[in-house]
Amino acid sequence: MASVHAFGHALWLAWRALLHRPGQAAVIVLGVSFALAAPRFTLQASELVEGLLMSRAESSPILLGAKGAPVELTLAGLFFTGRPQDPTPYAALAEARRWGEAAPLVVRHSAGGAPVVGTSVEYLERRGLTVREGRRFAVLGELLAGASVADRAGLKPGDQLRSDGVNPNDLGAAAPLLLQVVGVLAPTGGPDDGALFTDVRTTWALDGALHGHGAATPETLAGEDADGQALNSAVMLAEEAALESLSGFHLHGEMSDQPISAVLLWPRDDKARDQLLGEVALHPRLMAVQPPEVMARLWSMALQARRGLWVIFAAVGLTTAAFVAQTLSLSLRLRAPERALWRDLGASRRRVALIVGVELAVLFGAAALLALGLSELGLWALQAALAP
Amino acid sequence: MSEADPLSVEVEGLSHTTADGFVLRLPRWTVSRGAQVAVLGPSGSGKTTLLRLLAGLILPTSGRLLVEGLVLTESDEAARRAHRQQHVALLQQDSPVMEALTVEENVLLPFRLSPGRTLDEAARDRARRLLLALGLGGLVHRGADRLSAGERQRVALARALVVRPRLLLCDEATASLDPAAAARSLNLTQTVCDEEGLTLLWVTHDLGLAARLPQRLLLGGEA
Repeated sequence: MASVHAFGHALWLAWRALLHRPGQAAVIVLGVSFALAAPRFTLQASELVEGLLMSRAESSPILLGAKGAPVELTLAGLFFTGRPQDPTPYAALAEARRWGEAAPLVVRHSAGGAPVVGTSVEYLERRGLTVREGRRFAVLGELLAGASVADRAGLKPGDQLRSDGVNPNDLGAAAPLLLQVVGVLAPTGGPDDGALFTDVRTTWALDGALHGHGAATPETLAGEDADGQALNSAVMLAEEAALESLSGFHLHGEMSDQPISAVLLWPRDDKARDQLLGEVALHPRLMAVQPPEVMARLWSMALQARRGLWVIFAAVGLTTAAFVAQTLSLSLRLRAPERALWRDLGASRRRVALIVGVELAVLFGAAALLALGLSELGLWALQAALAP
Repeated sequence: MSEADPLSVEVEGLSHTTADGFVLRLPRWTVSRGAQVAVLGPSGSGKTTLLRLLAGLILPTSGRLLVEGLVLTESDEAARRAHRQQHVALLQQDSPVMEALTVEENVLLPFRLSPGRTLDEAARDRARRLLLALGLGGLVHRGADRLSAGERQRVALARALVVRPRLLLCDEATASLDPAAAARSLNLTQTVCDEEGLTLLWVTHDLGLAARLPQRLLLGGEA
């Protein structure tokens, strides 16, 4: 009980002493907390990013695409960023299905700033994407919105969304399509939340390869509209046609030749995976990448950069420790009369040591708590920034 | 020690040699309980050494020294420290106060530092009464960093008295004050000592102040 009282009095004295010199206390607390928070944040942030990247990669066993850069194919197939250098023919999907379940991926369009991903229902099922509201896409021109996109843009079933325009100077480019939102996905916390999903054929319509024609007459081929602009209305405005006249749509060329970005493949077993990798290795135009390996290689490069950071953190930590030691040493010397007074008033050496120790513990405890708060705040900001 | 013991201090054949070779000799000297004694003498005459001996902070080279019932010269350090904490208050020139604390908190500081004391309402009442008696009643909650030198000295005096010592040792306690403030401080101290029945030993260079005390001990000369 006496020791509890002694600790209580020591804590009270330490608290009052710190409040009397708030500037000095704040400098020490801030210096120590930053020195502690920086490496902790770096470590946890890298673990967070690694976890996000690797969990996505682990759930994506194999990507098939045109020979080229494996990293670009992986980023496009997993995170819908960038795009593979060359498209792959749709026929690769049928090839892939010999070894397991496969879904096509077309990642080269966007609507409202979000990527429009052309795929099939297999993708939704293998990724475990469930519909929060409405239904899945069924026909040409229908969109299923990821949770984040829907929340950000306020999309709900029944809304319409125009695909983002292409270069206005490209006269040969297809016109934007007015797409129909038919459903919203439940959130997953992954890249799927930030994408719009549609049937792969809709992306071909966005390319202009799948379209409908109006009646081609001399008047419509190169007429004048009310604004005096020359129009070529031989190709129907797709945004109208997609919704009203699907039966008139047709594809120029063979479906198997239509371009897709990649095929995401879940081999039925290890043997099938090995056979696939062996066959594709000899293929003249296709390559197969295993996203876990690609991401692991990428991540090992990031880890090398992190090792450099540790050297910097160690230097900052040592400098801070020296600064804090110097400040505390000076403070202890300046406050020697205070400790002598405590002794005169009956404090034992142990009691004096307790008071000094508690004051230091309060300082470093506050610094540790602040460091924890700062690093958690940083992680929260990082998670918000990484959210789809 | 008993309350009936008429002596607060009893010295017999005391001799103490300091590290620089100075020798303090006091063949026989007694102080009655409740007495108020001025200790006078030129610089280097051993006034402060005498107070440190009486406080049990140092031991004489030879002789017998009894303070408030304890023979210090026959006691170990722990016993002397416990005795000092219980019965003796030492107030030095420019006794420090903790600037981080208020006036009242400074006075109550011994209760937070000494394991044998309890900070309760009675202690707070006594602290407030002492501050009132010493003219600091209006400054109870003022920060000690905003006090004048005289006010600090009175806070230190209240802090020394709050633990109910029997012997109050003041070593040049008013040396940093102007003569009027020093006289006022001595008057207040004497009043409190009278009320509390304390024995007061007041070391000073100031003959005027010494004249205000009923007894005097002259070191380096005759009493």
